[in-house]
Amino acid sequence: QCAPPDVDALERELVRAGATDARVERGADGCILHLPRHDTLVHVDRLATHVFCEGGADVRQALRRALHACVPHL
Amino acid sequence: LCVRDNRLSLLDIDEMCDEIGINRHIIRFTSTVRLEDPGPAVKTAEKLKNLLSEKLEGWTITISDGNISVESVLIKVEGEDDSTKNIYVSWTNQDEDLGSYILGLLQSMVQ
Repeated sequence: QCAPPDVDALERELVRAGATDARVERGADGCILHLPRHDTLVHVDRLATHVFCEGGADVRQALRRALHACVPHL
Repeated sequence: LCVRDNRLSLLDIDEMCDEIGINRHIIRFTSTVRLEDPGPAVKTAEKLKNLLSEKLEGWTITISDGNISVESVLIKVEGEDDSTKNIYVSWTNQDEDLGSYILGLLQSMVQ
């Protein structure tokens, strides 16, 4: 059984990446993250993450880095 | 690289995770491209499939019910016959290069 995502680590990494507008709604097994400036919604669950991203490759790269800090077994 | 049945084996990352009982976390990205192309969505999908076959020579590209797939990249066309189509491009983290290439290709068509 995987550990639940570390939402605190995700928020820290996003702030470090400059995404200070991130809105995070926590759930039992993860969170839903909204980045309005980049028209991006991220659903982080215990086993999978789905990124609905209308931003560019730079936004995806920043999210990938932040998710590495947040979820085990990438 | 792992030891299996007292022999060294080279496994891909998914096989390795199965072997040691880890549920690997999957990241999937989805982006949307809006394309002016009147006509049925399935026709738009066929045109996109032909374009991808031309640009991605040597790759296996399949189409089923108007959904195109190349490795983990999925392309779905939605929209009424007489309207702009929404093209959803989706790919896993491991196929970022391929997914972002296909997304860029579709975005370049609408600019």
